[in-house]
Amino acid sequence: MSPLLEVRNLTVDFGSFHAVEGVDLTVAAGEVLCVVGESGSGKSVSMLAVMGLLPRTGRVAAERVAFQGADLLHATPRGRRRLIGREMAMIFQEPTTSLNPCYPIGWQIAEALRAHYAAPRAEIRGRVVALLGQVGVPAPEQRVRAFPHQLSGGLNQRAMIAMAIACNPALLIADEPTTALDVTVQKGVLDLLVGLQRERGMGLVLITHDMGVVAETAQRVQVMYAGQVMEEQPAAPLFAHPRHPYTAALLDALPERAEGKPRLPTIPGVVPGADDRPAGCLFAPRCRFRTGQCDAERPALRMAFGARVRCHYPLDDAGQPTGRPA
Amino acid sequence: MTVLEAVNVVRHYPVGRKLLRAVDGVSFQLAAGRTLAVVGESGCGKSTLARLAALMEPPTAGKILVTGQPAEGPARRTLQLQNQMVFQNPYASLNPRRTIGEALIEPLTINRRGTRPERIADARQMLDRVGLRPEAFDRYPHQFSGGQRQRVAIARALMLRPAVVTADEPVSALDVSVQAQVLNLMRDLQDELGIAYLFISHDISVVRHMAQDVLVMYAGRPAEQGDADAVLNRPRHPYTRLLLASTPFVDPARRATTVAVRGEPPSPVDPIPGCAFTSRCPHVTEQCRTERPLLRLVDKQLVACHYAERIGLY
Ligand SMILES: Nc1ncnc2c1ncn2[C@@H]1O[C@H](COP(=O)(O)OP(=O)(O)OP(=O)(O)O)[C@@H](O)[C@H]1O
Ligand SMILES: Nc1ncnc2c1ncn2[C@@H]1O[C@H](COP(=O)(O)OP(=O)(O)OP(=O)(O)O)[C@@H](O)[C@H]1O
Ligand code: SF4
Ligand SMILES: [Mg+2]
Ligand SMILES: [Mg+2]
Repeated sequence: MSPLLEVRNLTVDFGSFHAVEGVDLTVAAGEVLCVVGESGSGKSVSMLAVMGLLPRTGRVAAERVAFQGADLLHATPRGRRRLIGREMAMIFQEPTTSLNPCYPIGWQIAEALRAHYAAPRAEIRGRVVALLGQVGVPAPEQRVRAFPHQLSGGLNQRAMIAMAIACNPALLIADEPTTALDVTVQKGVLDLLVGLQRERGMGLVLITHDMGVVAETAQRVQVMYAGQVMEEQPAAPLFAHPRHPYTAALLDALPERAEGKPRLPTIPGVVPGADDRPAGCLFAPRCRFRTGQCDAERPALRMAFGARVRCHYPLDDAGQPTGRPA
Repeated sequence: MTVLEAVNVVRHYPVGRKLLRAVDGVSFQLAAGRTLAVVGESGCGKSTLARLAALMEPPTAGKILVTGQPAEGPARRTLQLQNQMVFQNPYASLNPRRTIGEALIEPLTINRRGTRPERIADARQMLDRVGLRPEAFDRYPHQFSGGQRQRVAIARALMLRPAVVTADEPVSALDVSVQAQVLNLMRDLQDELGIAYLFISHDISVVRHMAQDVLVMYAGRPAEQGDADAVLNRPRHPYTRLLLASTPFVDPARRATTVAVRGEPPSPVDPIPGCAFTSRCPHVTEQCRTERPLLRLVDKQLVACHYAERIGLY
């Protein structure tokens, strides 16, 4: 079966800065892919590129971007909108950017529904209220008439989620959908999204920086660093045996994994900026296993231990680099 | 030694013709060199409590004591210096037009501490102490990353050598690897200088790592408080249990199997006659609706629930 979404070798440049470099991404129906990475690693930009929503300053190149087998890369904006239709929805990181301040939230969700279903007013209204309830908006009957500015960030976020799932999309791209929410509400929203994936076979791309959320929701995980995918593998083995030194260091820095230790293991240095990206491995300046080869040669993404890893010396089960000269 | 104490503090805000009870009867004691974490959901009153504790606004009722002295009358001003605040967004709390050096010197100048050369020397030393390079002294906030700015904010809070630092979500805006650096710094400074932290966070794993004591708030009221291990490993209040069960953990062993999240928190402007958690509690009875449960000792912690003894353990 062909994947819902297929992206090969995606690159996005802003001027001379590679915000995204050589990213591959596939999602099948009924699959949850989590994309994790620190701030600025290119998570949002790569998804906005797929949706064709980047500003003109962003130059997009790829071998292939296809949704349900249809090419999106060479489609005109209009053709792309037609191909995507209501089948692919996105929840944006900034709720304010996708809610219109001039209309009540209930009206906006109803609008999304009406584009899809011809149903009587009352039925649409009932569905809007039900959707708001599903995403954990308290007192949804009253909230339908509220304008975005009358609601908290968390409630707007939930209204946006309701709008995105209103039309039963085949694929949902959710960019930090629960970051502004309390954990009790987050739990409800994540359960809802995973429920849609299970029951309706929706594909879900979940962008997050919360490793706990990844561990509890993902089937497959992509770890991004400075615009590149550093590692990709199924969730359980990723947490048990990270194969990339960056993933391993990131997991070590979690307070949850440092129980009883007074100090948290840290990653020295900072993420390289636009003008100090190294020529070799992007993680090399901060990597404890770095060698001359790491500085000289940018590693390719390759298979090792059942994972895709962008490292010259993928880690073995003991967390030791393989093939590294002593 | 207790360096910060809250005695039944209350903070009301008038909203239209109603009263919003942002903080409604919270007490705690914080000893030198220790960390008390305040957790709870958005709007439960954590930041308000922080502002009361840091003497940035007076309580409607109850009192705050800093280093044992009641923060009342003329003493407030001097006691304020003993409790400095660090905020979630370090960018907003730093003046973009002032160099880092100036930002650090300012509290000393305002309070007439030392001579100008002494202040500069002090600021440079503090920069080094929080792990920033000497060049940082003449740079502006926008030239720094989020983690570096948070180091600056911490350095600034420490310039007056306070007994307490009140940190309101200090690492919530930071990436995991940067968060680890800032948390390590905070612990090192605590070990070295004996500072006490009132540490506000919504991240249970961070709280577990940083705090010896925890205060769980719900709708402005204390739900459960006491020793961090007791509260977080053997929670007795249904809200604490819901909070922990909803928290995503990397380690599957920590995850709760089921949580039924239902109901919604009470409106902050309507008076709550009984327990604040009735609308979401699976154990609710008539008594809960009419009679406000007071904090009482159950096991090793204080719990505000009529049925704390009966509520099963994990
Ligand atoms: N419109 C733009 N013009 C120039 N640079 C941009 C633009 N949008 C994003 N960038 C840059 O591209 C890089 C990737 O940004 P992106 O928003 O994808 O990060 P992210 O991984 O989503 O981070 P976060 O976790 O903070 O959301 C960053 O360095 C960012 O500054
Ligand atoms: N100056 C004020 N005037 C009126 N209401 C206020 C004021 N400050 C806070 N509140 C209200 O008091 C309640 C508690 O707010 P507070 O900011 O203390 O919550 P919080 O626990 O810090 O939430 P968050 O996790 O979102 O930061 C909220 O209902 C808030 O709207
Ligand atoms: S390629 Fe080298 S520097 Fe890069 S992660 Fe692997 S070992 Fe570290
Ligand atoms: Mg983003
Ligand atoms: Mg707050």
